[in-house]
Formats: sequence, C-alpha cells, structure tokens
Amino acid sequence: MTAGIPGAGIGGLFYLVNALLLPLRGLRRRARGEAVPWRELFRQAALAAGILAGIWLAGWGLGLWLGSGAGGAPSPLGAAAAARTARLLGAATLVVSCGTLAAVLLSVQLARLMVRRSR
Amino acid sequence: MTASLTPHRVQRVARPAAHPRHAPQRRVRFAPVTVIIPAYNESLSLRDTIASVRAQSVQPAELIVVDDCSTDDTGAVAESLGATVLRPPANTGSKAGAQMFALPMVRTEFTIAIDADTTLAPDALERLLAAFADPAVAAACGTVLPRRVASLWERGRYVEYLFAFEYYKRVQDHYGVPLISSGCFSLYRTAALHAVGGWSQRTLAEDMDLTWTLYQRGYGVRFLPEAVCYPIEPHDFHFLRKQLRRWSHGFVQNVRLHWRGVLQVPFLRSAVAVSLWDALIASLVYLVVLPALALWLRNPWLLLGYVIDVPAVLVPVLAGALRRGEAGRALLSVPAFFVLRTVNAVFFLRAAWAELVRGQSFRTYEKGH
Repeated sequence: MTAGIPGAGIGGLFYLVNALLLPLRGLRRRARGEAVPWRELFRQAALAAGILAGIWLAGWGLGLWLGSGAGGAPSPLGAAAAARTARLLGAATLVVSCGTLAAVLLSVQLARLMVRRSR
Repeated sequence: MTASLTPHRVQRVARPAAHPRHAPQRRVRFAPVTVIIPAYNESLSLRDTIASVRAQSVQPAELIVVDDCSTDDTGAVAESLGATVLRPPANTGSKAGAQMFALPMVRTEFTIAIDADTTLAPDALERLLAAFADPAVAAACGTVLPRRVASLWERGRYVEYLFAFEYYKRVQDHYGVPLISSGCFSLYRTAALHAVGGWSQRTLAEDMDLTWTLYQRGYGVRFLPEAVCYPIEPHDFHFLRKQLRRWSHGFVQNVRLHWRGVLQVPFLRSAVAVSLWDALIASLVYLVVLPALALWLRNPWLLLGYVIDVPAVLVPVLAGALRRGEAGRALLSVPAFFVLRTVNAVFFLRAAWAELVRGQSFRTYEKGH
C-alpha cells in the first residue's frame, strides 16, 4: 500500500530531495569502506532530476497557456502579467511546500527528543 | 544424488525425472524455506499461486496452505497440488490469524508469506534469498504489480505500484528502511519472526505492524526490485472499498501503536510523518480546499491542481513501464491513477476521522478481492 496520495503533497518533495541526495550518501558510504551501488544511486537521482524537469515543464506550460488566454478566452492580465503571475504562483508553491516539509521534519525531531527525554 | 551448500544455503538436489530411463535428471535446488499461504475461499486463485511456487528456480522445502475453514474446495485443491493443508478448528478471522496458525509448524531457517491470490516470477524466491547473506536482515520483499490490468481500479493500482516500487520504495531501500515488507509476498528469517511474535492481529495491516516492529528490535529489512510478484487487485469498487478500508485504517492504527518506537528509527520516522501528513492534510486540500477555492474565486482553472503533477508522476512510471515493455499500457492507465488517488484520499480521511477523532477503531478483516 502507499499511504497518503502518491505524487502529490510533501511526500513527493521529500522523496525528490532524498533521491537527489543519494550520490552524496554514496560518497559517505564509500568513505566508510562500504560497497556502493553507484549505478542504482545515480539512476534514482536521474529519475528525481527527470521529475524536477517534469514539474518545471508543467509550470512553464501552464504559464504559457494562461498567458495566451486559457480556454480560448483572451487573458485579462496580458501575456507578460500572466507569466509573472505563474512564476509567482510557482515560487509561492515551492516556498510553502519546502516550509511545510521542513516544519514536519523539525516536529519529528522535536517529538523524538521529547520521547527520549521522557523515557 | 548430490548436495552442496551455497552462501545462501541453497541445496542442489537432483530430482528424478518422471521417466528416469529416458530423460536426464533435472537438477532442482532446494532452499530451507517454508511457504505459508493463508487461504479463505481461494480455490479459484490458489492453483495459480501454488503452480508459481512449484515453478521457482529454487524450491522451498515445505509448502503449507492454511485453509481457514473455507466453504469452497480450497483445501482439496491445495491437497491435490501436493501442499500440506492445515485447517484451524474455527475461522481465525484474519490473514495474520491463519499465518500464525501455521508458524509453529515451520522448521526451516526461512519462512515466506504469500497471499493465495498472488503468483511469483520464476526467480522471485531466489532473488529474495540473496538479501539474507547479511545476517542482520530479517525480512525481504520485492516489486508488486497487478496480475490483471483491465478495469479502472486495476489500471489505477498498476500505475500506483509502478510509481511506488520504481521510485519511493527504491529510495527507502537506499536509506535502509523500506516502509513495508509487503504482506502479499515477503521472506522472513524464521528466528526473527518468532522473536517478535510473528504476525499480529492488533491492527488491520499486519505487514506494516511486523515491519515496524522488526525495525524497532534492530533488524534489517530489504527491498529487492527484481523479485516480482503479481497479486490479483480489486477489479470493482465493491472489493476496492474493502481493501482501501483495511489499508487506511491499518495505517492509522499502526501510527497510533508504533509512533514512539518509530521516532527512534532514522528515516522511517520522517517517511511515516510525511505519509501521515499527506494522508491527512494533503487529502483535505485535495478534496475540500481546492474545489472550495475554485468555487469561491469562480475560477475553474484552479482544478488543474488535480493533474498538475502528471509529468512528475509519468517520469518514474514510464521508466518502470519501458523496462517491462509496457509503456502503452502505462500511458493508457495514467488517468485511472488520478481517479484512484482521489478515492484513496477519501478513505484515508475517513479512517483518520474514525480512528483519531471519533475513537472508533475498525477491526473487521474484510477480504479485498
């Protein structure tokens, strides 16, 4: 089973960041003298890069579509303003998602410390 | 007859062919593995499951089918195929109950749990055994893909699994913590299984319960993507509803049960927290906030939020599908994934509301196919 809604939410971002960090993790393992499945690590990192590209492409396409007047109607903002709005929306989404993920992960660490202290 | 011991303790034994005078002896490799197949009214699917076990490149030493007081001829089918059939005095009420009925009979180093509706790729068992060269590993699981991909729900599940097993689960394994060793097909070190008390009936997701218990006791779990199994997934909403109800309640029950212990396991704590957040908050945004915002602002384009991540979903799904030569099937199935995802969100919200807010724990085990 997959808990949550796969693809959407902060889960997508969480796995994206962790997949991109895999080669760095490989370096750390190598330094400890462990065998590292480099091919697999880079494959997952490349997949994450592909997902990032997909997200960027979707945002870019959406901006272009809205700017040209979505659904055939002329854009009330004009092309330049619509592109600016799309960029702003994209940036805001990224900031909110990253902020939420950071807050959730920080809460987990705090909860861990509290549980450990109460034991 | 020859016998040797490989690093994974696979015994090579020459099995006499059906006509020894005319045919060369076929070399069969046996592993110290007992297969447990819990079954309740599974006569239609059990035959394929047992056949796929018999076709393994490495043969298990014992095959046990727990006929959980079926009202069909499940037991007779299993017996006719050479399985050891156990029948509890009364229906155990759950898959975990049936598995626990068989566990005391296991005398081998490893135990494999397979659902009665699941078939295995011919090398699945051999590939899972490779993980146990590491003595810290107590459980190993593989890739799960629906056997039938025809209905809306099967197609949705096909894409969901491709996404999860191609991307999420591989990342989890690289961090040493696959979230769940799938209940439909997992291999366990029998001693570790006994040490943690086997499969518990305290939640509706016994596989998640067992996996998280193993982590808390210091055991390792591995995911081996090349070991593939094929369960029958719900083909209609009637069965899907049962399965999603069981999974969503099981997830919430496990979070409630294990949260203190899970907090001490690196990566697992973050993965569970993120899953819980998505199951609750992202589901709420998906089902309530987005349509409310579209109505309030009178802007239907906001509903594009439901499919804005299509390209992000497509990348891992196509990567997995291309390797299997199933790109067309995956592309055709993508719309169904977005329908299933919405339904998933409804079930997770309902489960969280019942379990966490109303304090109504759902305990009835309903078969999902």
